[in-house]
Amino acid sequence: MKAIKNLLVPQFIDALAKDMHLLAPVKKGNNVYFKTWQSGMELEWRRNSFLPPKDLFFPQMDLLYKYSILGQNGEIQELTQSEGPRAIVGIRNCDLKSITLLDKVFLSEGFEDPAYRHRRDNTVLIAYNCSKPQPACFCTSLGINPQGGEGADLVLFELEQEDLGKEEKFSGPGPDYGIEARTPKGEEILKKQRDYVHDTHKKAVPFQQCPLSFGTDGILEKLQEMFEHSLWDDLSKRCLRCGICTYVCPTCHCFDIQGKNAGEEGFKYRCWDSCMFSDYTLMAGGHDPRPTRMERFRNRFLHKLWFYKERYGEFLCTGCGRCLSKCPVHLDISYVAGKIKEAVVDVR
Amino acid sequence: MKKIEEMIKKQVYDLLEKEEIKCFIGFEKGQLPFYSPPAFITEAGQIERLIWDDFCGANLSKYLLNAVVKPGEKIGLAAKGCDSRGILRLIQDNQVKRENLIILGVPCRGMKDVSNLTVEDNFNQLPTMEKCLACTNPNPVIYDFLLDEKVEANPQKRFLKVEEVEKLTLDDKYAFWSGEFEKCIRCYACRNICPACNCRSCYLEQHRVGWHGKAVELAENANYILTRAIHVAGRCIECGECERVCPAELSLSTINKKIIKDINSLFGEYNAGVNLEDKQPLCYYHSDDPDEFR
Ligand code: SF4
Ligand code: SF4
Ligand code: SF4
Ligand code: SF4
Ligand code: SF4
Repeated sequence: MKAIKNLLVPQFIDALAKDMHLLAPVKKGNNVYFKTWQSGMELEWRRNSFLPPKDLFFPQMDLLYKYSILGQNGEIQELTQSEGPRAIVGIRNCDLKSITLLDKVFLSEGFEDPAYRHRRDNTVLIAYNCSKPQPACFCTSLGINPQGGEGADLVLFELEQEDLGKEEKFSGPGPDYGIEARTPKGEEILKKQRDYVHDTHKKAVPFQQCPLSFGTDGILEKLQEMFEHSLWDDLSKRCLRCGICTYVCPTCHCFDIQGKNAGEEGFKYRCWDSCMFSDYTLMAGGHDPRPTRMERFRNRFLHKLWFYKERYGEFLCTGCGRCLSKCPVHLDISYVAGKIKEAVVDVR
Repeated sequence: MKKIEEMIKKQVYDLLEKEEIKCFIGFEKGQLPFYSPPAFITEAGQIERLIWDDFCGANLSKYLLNAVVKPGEKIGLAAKGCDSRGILRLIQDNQVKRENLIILGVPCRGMKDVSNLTVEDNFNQLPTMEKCLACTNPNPVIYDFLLDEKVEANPQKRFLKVEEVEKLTLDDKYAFWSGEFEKCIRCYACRNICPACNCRSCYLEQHRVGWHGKAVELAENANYILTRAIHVAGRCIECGECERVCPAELSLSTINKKIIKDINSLFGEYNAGVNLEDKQPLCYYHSDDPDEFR
């Protein structure tokens, strides 16, 4: 197996950053963001990013084109698809999975979103396999292997520090990282950066159990009987109908297209939207098919656990736990799934 | 804490049994030991769900805005100092009626910050929330029952950050605030939790009128945050909830507290949501008010 010495990791990333736009997890305040790597930055591995990597493929704010009006005529300038090759370091397996789920939305069923396609084709994914889950993780419930590296070009993982005494483990430089190529693109990078890599017999640190779990068996069938159910009223009372859970979710993908005009100039953009917002389903004539927080709240879970599964064969959730750790009232999908399981369905 | 929890359970049991309240808003245990989210209890049989511990930091008052009460029905809720000021805010703004509420007041010693836990943290030794270190009214200002002895306020950090920012040069202030506004993801959690943001229909959602664009960029973000700050000026009860819920960690309390500090120095000390009889400084005019434009 190949490995990188702990202290060489930043240099390895520096070297990668010479060839392409490199994004890596760094801390800003208490939150971790994928930021453009600059030599000297400090990598943050201890927790997953605040905004999921979806922001890098389907950004919260994506400019489409700008225009200017010249008398009777106009001029349009396209603004997307101009980014060069890039790599993202440190994607967790939950988030890797979210990218395959988003691929189905943006690249299948007869239409390919050009901006998404461009960014997807242009990006090397360097995963970080988890050994320690965070307090709110439950990826294994969704059938994800947190050390699987599925869909990545390269994977990094922590190695056992078996040759160190306990004290050195804390004061020493920290663990070395195993590195494995999963695609030809990954192999190529590894070959090019071979100076940073050595052979090792050390083993990967095994994964500790996720602190949370929920059963998904039969949930779709049950939900199909639960469109009208008092559970939605009961649960949604707690919800603030903010946009946090949908915005930090790596799989939520609703958007709006809007424009901003100033005088003779303006631009069109695509921005994230959330089914929790009151204007989301409001129609031009004033009718709103989801008029209260109950219907909006219900929609979020029906989409994740029913509609998406029916259309694409999988749940629209990766168990990343962001909707639990970031929700101001901790009203997350594992809790709701548990309540769905417990609910009594009145079969007539 | 356990004693308070038992008292809450007993009171709520009685209130629900005697049908004096329709619903009680308190806290229950969440998915993890250090999460205590809001709970809505409607039957005496459910009181075992209720808890009181170090993690009951959320302000429950905003839930009253959407609580449906029929004439003659009452709602009960647990109220720390900040919840009680939120309740006063809603009463003063004519959003709820005092006679529809039964308030179980709980003097508060400060709640724990669970916003940024990693697996390495020991959840028995978490820091106190910033908002609690700035709290001027840990004792409920309005209640029907008081469940514990009153505590001393110690708002050591109330204006600390404001004073820090005040010292910056104009350029540095601009850089600081731009950096803050840039982080905003426009989730509107700060508005939705805020007891002073109690309009039934918010200008932000009136897209056809076009008050506010949806673009997530520095200018629109700043426009949103500052508009909200001005809208709650003189009415903000300093519960710090906007900052607690903000997933992007914007220093929202610094804006509100700056406005409060300015109001205090211009019009005299005023604490919103503490006394129903107090005149609100931005709601009336005095002939000797400072007037820079004269
Ligand atoms: S579930 Fe939580 S994060 Fe999601 S809208 Fe409701 S309060 Fe906000
Ligand atoms: S629903 Fe929650 S746990 Fe599932 S992917 Fe979204 S944020 Fe992560
Ligand atoms: S949810 Fe699983 S893959 Fe994602 S960060 Fe947690 S342990 Fe890792
Ligand atoms: S502005 Fe913030 S601190 Fe002030 S009342 Fe609203 S939520 Fe509380
Ligand atoms: S809670 Fe924070 S991120 Fe959300 S809208 Fe308010 S300031 Fe922006």
